[in-house]
Amino acid sequence: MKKISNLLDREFHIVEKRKIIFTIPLAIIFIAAVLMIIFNFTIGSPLNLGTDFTGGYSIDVKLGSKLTSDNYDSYCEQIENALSTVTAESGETYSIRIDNMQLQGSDDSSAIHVKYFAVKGASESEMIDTINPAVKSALENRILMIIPAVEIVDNVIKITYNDVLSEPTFADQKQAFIDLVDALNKDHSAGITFDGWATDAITLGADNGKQIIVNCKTVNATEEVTNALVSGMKIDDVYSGSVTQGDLVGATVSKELLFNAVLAVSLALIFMLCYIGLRFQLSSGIACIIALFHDVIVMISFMAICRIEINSTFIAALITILGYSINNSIILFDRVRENMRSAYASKMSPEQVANKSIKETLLRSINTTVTTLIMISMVAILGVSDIKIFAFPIIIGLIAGTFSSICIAPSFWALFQRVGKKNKERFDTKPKDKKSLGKKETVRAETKV
Amino acid sequence: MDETTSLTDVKSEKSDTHTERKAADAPTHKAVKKKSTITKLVLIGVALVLGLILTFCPMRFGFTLYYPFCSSESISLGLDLKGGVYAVYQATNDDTDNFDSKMEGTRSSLESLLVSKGYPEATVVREGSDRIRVEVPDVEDTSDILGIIGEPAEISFVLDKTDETVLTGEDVVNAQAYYSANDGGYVVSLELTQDGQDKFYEATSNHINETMSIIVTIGGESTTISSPTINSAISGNAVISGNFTAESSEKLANQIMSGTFDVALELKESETISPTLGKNALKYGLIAGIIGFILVIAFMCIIYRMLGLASSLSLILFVIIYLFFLAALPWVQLTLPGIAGILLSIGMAVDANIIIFERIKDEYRNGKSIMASYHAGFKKALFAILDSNVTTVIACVLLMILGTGSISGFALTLLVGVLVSLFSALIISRALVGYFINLNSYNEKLYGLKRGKQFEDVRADSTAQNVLEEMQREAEKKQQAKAEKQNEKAREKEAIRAKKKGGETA
Repeated sequence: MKKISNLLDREFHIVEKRKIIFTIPLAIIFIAAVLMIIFNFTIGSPLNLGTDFTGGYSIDVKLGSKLTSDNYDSYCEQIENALSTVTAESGETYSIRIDNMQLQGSDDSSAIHVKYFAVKGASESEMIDTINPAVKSALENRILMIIPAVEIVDNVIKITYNDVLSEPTFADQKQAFIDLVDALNKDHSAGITFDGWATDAITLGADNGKQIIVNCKTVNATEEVTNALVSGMKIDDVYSGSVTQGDLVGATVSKELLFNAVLAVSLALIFMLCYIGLRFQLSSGIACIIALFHDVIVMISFMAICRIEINSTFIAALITILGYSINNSIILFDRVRENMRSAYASKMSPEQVANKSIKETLLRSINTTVTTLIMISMVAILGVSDIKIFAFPIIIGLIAGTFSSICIAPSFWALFQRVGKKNKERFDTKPKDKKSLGKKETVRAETKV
Repeated sequence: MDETTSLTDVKSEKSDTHTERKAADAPTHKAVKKKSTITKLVLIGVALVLGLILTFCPMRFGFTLYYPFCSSESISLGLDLKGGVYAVYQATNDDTDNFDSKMEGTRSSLESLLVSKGYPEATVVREGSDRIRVEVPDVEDTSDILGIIGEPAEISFVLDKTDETVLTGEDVVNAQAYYSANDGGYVVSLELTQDGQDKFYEATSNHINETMSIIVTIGGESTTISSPTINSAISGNAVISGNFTAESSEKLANQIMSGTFDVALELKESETISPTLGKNALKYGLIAGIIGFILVIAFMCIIYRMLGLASSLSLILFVIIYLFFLAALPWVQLTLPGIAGILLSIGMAVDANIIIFERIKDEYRNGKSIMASYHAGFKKALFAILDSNVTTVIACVLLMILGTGSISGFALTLLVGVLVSLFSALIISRALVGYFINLNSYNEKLYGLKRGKQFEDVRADSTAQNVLEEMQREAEKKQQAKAEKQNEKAREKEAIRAKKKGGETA
């Protein structure tokens, strides 16, 4: 605290350092622009837009009471793996991008709600007719099956499951194995010949009945055979749940809604500009708006640089910062207004007025930013993922807003005061021209009478 | 009823402010002032504790449960926090006349349909020009809702002999399925408009012993459900019987209801939003908010000492009153953007206090006594706070009117928050800071205040001579200007009067 108050005893020269002030945001915007161009060519989209903006599809993996908070993450991982392997008939992978996964329902109705983007370049009918069913079957095959681990050592095939095999399941799997071997041997790839009678060679292993052991005379221990055994010996887990194809998830932030929002915000800005113009000066209002655009652009830049997903909550964050930024700038221009009114205004240059105002509001700016940051960081630390996504742009916006209200807005204001003859007269020579002085100066004139 | 008590508490404080300000202007009788100040502070403390209990603690009075303001029972939550089902319908025949009013009619009939089916919390809003968005909280399965709205069915009663259509869907007010022992099965009963009842009576009385077919058209495909013979003139409502099961009768009733909408709707999208996510989001959001708030209060107390303590009390009162309004105002529905609005409001309330305290510090640094700094600080901060809040109010009102869904929700919570924070900063904080300064108005360290270099030797409870003179000069100037203005007005009036008189005599 002492350091800050010492600082306040000194003259401020912030506004004069325009080069530094304007370079910082411009550099951030430049980096963001370059990255956006790079992302556009490598990943395909300059910004990481969520399904709220782009639309997409949803699918529910209903797992019932099998799904607990402990295994939720591992199921999510499995789903992710399953979706990454979805391939077209031609053999190329679709590379399906998951937007998010949510836990839904409770107990018997527990399900994982998966939202994914449409495959790039695929038409809507293609998505519905071929890709979505492929996604569904991939999930069914991967998530709702018990997949064994297969090991072939010294002509002994060991097929291990996670759970104990019941007597009928074992019988089923035994038959499945024999069928599989028949099919494999037709291809001549496995070359499995049983040791002794076929059915006797297949026994339930000692490992608590979780393992099927097959003693063979010969077996080709190739990867192909192992893979064939893994996929052939899967158990269809009928009790584990179902996969239901959900609906088209529309872009909740459709173009029309976005347009409405932009329209509403622009009109709000125009009205605010009018109010600031009336109560302060038009140049203050314009400087406020510039500061605000700076904050918004810096926020979007950071979203682009960190490639954080932009969802409808981001719009809420933008409007929040809009309110915060205007508030900040107004507090500063309130001081400017006061300093202009003071008898010394005519002896001061616009830069001096701006610097004095910055100095006087600096402690307030710092304290307010600190308190707001405390609140929002708590939300960012403790909140669930959706709220975290929401808090990050607000934190960026807060910092940008503080910077813009201390540096950008007064700099522009001071610049505007240099433009035009009337303004030059106002500061450098003694103001006599009432018209150019606007409302405040006439008030002053009145009090002098 | 308990809510009102906390409101009256606030009111009583408000009246205290005026008396207190008068007392503050007179620097004598310190001891008396201190005593009354302490009683006032104790009263406010009691109000605060009461408010906190009403805000956070659920209570049971006999058989009735009291829900605090800050609970999901009091503040209605949006779909993103509570979980539920939403569906968006698109109108397919948007080329008809009066499309807008028809959409509005459809929206309200959809709303009443959902209410009648036991979903009073459902919200039905128009989205864009030709879409309707239905949101039903606390439902886990989309099919529950989609079944109700269903594929629209057009129903018509046609006389077989003349092929004359007697009734259509327009004549139907309500369709209901129930088990009828008389008909030996499930039936769909149609409640008809007065006009429909008249038409039905006329047709049935003129065509006794003829058959009348009941035809249902779904998606362009017509099926004749039954062709009963008219035995006698039927007045009142129509009943459709056929080989219905409980489900098929229910489905038909729903479809007929959908058929009565003015515009044909097509399901565009629907989704279930997880309620568990919502619950966690809210719980952790609340915990984060409380911890953050406590840290902010701690920060204020460290930086501004007693002033910070006063502002902490006023901020807690602010939160209590704010939550009360959020719970009491019926059109507040809290969504994630709404929470952003709340956070921003708390931020602005804290900011207002900081602006005031920095002003007070400024004034004290420049040679005024603590009491004089307090008055001058509030006075000078007033316009800054008013201007920033008015701009925010302007933005909020516009966003509320023009914005859709979550944006208008954000604007509403922010609007309420800004208004309450204005009240809290300019009235509650003002009174509280006044009381706290009364307690010990000659100890600058207690309030985190510091004299500027030129005024280091001026006592805390007195004003530097030159500053005092300047203040007097300023006051005189102001009075002069005021008098001048009044004189001018009087002169103008006289001039006008003289003119009038002159006119009359001429």
